[in-house]
Amino acid sequence: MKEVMTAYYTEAFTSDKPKAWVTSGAPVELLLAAGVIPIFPENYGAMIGARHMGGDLCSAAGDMGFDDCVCSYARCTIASTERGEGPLGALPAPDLLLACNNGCGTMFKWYEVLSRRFDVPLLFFDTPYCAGEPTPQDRAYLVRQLERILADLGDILGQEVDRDKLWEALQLSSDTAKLWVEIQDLRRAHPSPLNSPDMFLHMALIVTLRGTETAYRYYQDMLAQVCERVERSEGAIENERYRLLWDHIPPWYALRDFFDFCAEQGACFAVDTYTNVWQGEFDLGRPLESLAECYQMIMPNLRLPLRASMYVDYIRDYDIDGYVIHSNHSCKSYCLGEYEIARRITAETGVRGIVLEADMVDPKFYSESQVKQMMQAFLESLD
Amino acid sequence: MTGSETLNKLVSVVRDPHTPLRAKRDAGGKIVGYFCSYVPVELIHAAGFTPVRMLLGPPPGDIAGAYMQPFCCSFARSLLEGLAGGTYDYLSAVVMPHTCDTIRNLSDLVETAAPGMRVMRLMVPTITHTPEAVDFMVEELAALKRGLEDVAGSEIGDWDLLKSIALYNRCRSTLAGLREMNLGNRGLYAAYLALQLTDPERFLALAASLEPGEERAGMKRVAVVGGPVPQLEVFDLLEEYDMLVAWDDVCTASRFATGMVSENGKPVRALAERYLGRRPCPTKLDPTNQREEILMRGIRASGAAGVVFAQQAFCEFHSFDYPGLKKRLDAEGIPSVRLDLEHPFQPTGQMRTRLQALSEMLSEGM
Repeated sequence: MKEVMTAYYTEAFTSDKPKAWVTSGAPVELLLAAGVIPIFPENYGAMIGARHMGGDLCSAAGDMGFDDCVCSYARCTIASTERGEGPLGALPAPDLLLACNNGCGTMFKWYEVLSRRFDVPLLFFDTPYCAGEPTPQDRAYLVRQLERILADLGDILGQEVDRDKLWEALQLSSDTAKLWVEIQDLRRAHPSPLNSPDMFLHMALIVTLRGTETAYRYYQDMLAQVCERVERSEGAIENERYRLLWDHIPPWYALRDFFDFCAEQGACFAVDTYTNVWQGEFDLGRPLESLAECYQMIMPNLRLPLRASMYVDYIRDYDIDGYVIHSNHSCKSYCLGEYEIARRITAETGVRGIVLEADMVDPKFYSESQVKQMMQAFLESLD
Repeated sequence: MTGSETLNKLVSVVRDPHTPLRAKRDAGGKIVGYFCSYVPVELIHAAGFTPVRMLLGPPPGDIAGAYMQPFCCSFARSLLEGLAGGTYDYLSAVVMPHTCDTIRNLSDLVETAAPGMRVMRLMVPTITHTPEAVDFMVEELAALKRGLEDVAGSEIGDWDLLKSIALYNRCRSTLAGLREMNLGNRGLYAAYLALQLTDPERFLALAASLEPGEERAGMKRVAVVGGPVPQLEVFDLLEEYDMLVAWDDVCTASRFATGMVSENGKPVRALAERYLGRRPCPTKLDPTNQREEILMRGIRASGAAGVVFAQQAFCEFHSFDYPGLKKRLDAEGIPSVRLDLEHPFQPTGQMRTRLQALSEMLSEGM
């Protein structure tokens, strides 16, 4: 992983190819087909958090006028850009931006700020909130937007986007997502071969490089290794005692500390909602329609009853004993509804859980001792 | 009725919209609530309902706390409290558009916490300037129209819709005229809010009996920028510091009222074009930074010398726009302050200090 990501960032920093900053839920396949290097500020935000740089950079964003209710991924990367600070300094400046609001509305606001900061065009894919199947007007709206984005991309780059390359990227992306889903499915084994913190690290490629051979090969190897672990009944942690569900982005600054603490108590997070977001498989018989549907129907863009039923399925399919919901101060889109989802999970499965208050990057909303006390008490209650 | 009696009536509509609306319901009237200035009131009115903006419920309490995190705005939490707690028991349905993430997700929570309430969703596109966005909005409005017809039990004819469009256009023209009548902050903003809380016919009758006030010397002209500002106390507070609101970009005032619907052509498309073509709010993509230019034009045209940002606390969308707007104002030498609003509204010491400072700065410039 480290090798692949180093190569990816080295190319992003040194290549003369055009670069686009892109949201994690945007159709990156369009950029790959156009020969553009995609750069994911959300991934960089996670790195900033994991390297314990989030506190300083979020505070710097506060000095720029962005208050605490603004997404901490946005705050820390905007400040990183201004200060030239971050795990790798500031990210390379973009030639264009591609955003999609299937994760949250935050995305386009953040990218508006970036568009003005760098004076580069912002391409935007608007995905209506989804009650299940897309409506006929959703389908028409989404496909027309994709056609417009492709045309705009051609205008910006001075070269029409090669549709054959696009279909190729879609095929690779789809095949890669299929591997990712197979890996996720293997976590049903007892003991679970992968803990959520493992997935939070391995997800980097499904976010940043889906649609490339690199990601496809990486997950092929990973799948083979995980299969072997399952055959050997090798668990992700020693003495798996509790199987848990993790909801939401983790507090990156506490990733090791928190999950190691849980592992010491015998708690393995056998499934999580966050890394399961990247699941789209495309039907290349109707590529743009299928692309549109997949990107509209990702979990945070689904109405609450659908989201809740997905959680209930996870609890049953992965034989989960308890759930831990991260109420992430930065993220209203993903969080608002969590209390109700928790009630529905318990009502339908009898499985109980807890809600932890924190933030994914900004550590000031995290109380280590309180969180550990809550976890300890919760795990004891599962005995 | 004297001018001041009319003003009192407008204020009382804002202070307690519920009692008259309940009486109306008891007398056989039908009322539909709506959540945002992107919901076409004309369509609701044409279906035979009184359109009522969801502005302030009771202070958020246990119900809101059971469904929503404290980092969601008190505006939304208050409305859930009211919908689940019975404050809005006179509504036949509520229209909830896609605006911010909070209101989007709130639509699901209303269905859960207030199971008897019929929720109609309106997916207002985030992009407003492309032909496909307008076409999508037309389809969404057509779906909303069918939903309203279902609740009303009768069809909305084009003629009904055109009549409602003409009526609300008159209301908007009337509001534009009121700004010139020296009604003071309270009078003017009570009028804006009253149009959203009562029948348009009643609003026009009240507005017709308003009398021009006298120009008050020594008042400093300011612009107010924000999301919903349903508390008249905010405008009173500005007046306490000798500030007259000369222009606003507020969604319960000018953003609601500016821009007419075409009375020619297909009415549903005309609605789509007006609502997407109106002054944008921060929940809509603004690739050319229209909001900043609109603010600067508004300041210049109105003679405002300072700006008060009045936004709901925890509003991420306004908070994203704020640093850029502030920076532009600073560059233009226009002083500004920011007030973060909570419900119930309590003017804090910090708010007063900021307003005092702004007032003094504006005095120096006079």
